[in-house]
Amino acid sequence: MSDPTSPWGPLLVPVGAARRWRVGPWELGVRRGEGEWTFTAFPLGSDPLATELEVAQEGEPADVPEDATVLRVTTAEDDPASLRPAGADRSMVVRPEVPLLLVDAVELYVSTPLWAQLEVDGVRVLDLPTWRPSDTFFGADPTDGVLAYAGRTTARREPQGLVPSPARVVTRVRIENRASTPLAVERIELPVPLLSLWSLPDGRLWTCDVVIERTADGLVRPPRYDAARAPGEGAVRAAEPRLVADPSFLHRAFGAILG
Amino acid sequence: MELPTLPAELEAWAPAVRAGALVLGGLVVIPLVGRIYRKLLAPRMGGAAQLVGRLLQVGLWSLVLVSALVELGFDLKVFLGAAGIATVAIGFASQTAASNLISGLFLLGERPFTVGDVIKVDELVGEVVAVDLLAVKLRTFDNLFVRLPSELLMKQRITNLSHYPIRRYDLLLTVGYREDLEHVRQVLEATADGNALVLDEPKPLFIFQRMGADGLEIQFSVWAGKATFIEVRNSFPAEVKRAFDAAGIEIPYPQRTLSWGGGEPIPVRLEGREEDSES
Repeated sequence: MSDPTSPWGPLLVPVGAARRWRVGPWELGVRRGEGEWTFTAFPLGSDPLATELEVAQEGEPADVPEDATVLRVTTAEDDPASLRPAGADRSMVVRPEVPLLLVDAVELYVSTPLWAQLEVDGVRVLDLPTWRPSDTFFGADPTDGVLAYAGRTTARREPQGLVPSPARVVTRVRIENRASTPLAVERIELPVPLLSLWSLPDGRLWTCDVVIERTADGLVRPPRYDAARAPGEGAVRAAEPRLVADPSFLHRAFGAILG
Repeated sequence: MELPTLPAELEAWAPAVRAGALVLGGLVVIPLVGRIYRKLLAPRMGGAAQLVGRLLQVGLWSLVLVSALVELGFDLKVFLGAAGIATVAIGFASQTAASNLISGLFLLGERPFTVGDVIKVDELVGEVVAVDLLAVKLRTFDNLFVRLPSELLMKQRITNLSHYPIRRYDLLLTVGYREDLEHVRQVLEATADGNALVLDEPKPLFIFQRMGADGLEIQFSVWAGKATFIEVRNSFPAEVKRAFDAAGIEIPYPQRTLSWGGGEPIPVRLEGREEDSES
């Protein structure tokens, strides 16, 4: 994470100076004073898949909106600050571009927005989405289900089909249908808070892989994933999962994973 | 082997010592039982936990005190007889309390709400802060403490506003007769789409209600999480108003068409100005 072109890592701002970061649709301004950090964060533009990336540019952000998040943190003089990536704090519900009828198995690639976590002296002081996804509900009916985020972008069959935004994290989802009848995949709920984040050599962030299996008798099993397993060669662990797997969470989340 | 006997002067104090030991034992054991209950059982009992805890405490202390009194030589038959008479007297005097008590038991069994839920009773809305046998305590959103007797809750209609994870907000609108309803629907759906707190699913609902006196009456319903419902209820109508203004969709004022049976136009004169105009 010491790559100077990566937005993630230590915030190298001299005392008395201001710097700004642009990560896709999200802008961060950082001003460092004597024993004080000031952070200003806000969404920029209306494209959640924006690809702009600027790291530690000199100066303050321009056109700061009134509802920007502004935080001053007082600290010991030399306490460092850092910016860390994280997955969404709720599950993401994504849909294939067109209804997908699955006969045996398929690999889908899904990109979801990153959250940015600001830490001062190792203490997390802010945890913000780089793009606030719309809320949605995942459940059989309005009486039973979980709140999640709606992934407005579609799932793709090839990772090249995804827009390479620095504010997104990619998940490879393998769906296996072992039943004799086709499986209609209308929506998938990704348990993003349970997935680890990895940085690939090309600088993109991926989560660990997720496998969803429909058994021969037609039951959809809870997803399998291994947070300790890298999604590709040369991947470096970028963030731990937000939550430790809880069987009841999985049961709730995946009781009806394929709507 | 024969047990050693106490001297006669100490023997007289033995019942008092045993009674004291029982009370002291109660002082040690009952709080311990309470702690174990709070740690192991209370979390699984939901709204009834507080009440069951109190009943447990009162029951254990009654047992300790009665045992201590027996040790001191009190005849419990006298107590029971007196208790029977007292029960009848108190029963007559406390019909309301008894009714509340029984209603409270039914409420605890049925559990239509638990501590932390937001409920509506008649026109009163508040968060449940305690569920006791005799009454339920609410904190209203203007920060008032309200005690509702259990009996009242058995008779009244209770709406639990936070029972389900999501709620629907119904926005009732009237648009001008010249508006294209399909265009209105598209503007409303785009507005819902732009509000991150409005749920994508279940999808918003567009219902044409009627051709009203002042315009076309429609209902547009959106869903929100129960935690953000108030925020959606406040923000969404304002966003719809802005979107309608931007799209040129008319929200009509109340209007009436006067008919006088045809013929010549009725002359209209504005009073109170120097140059009166006629039409």
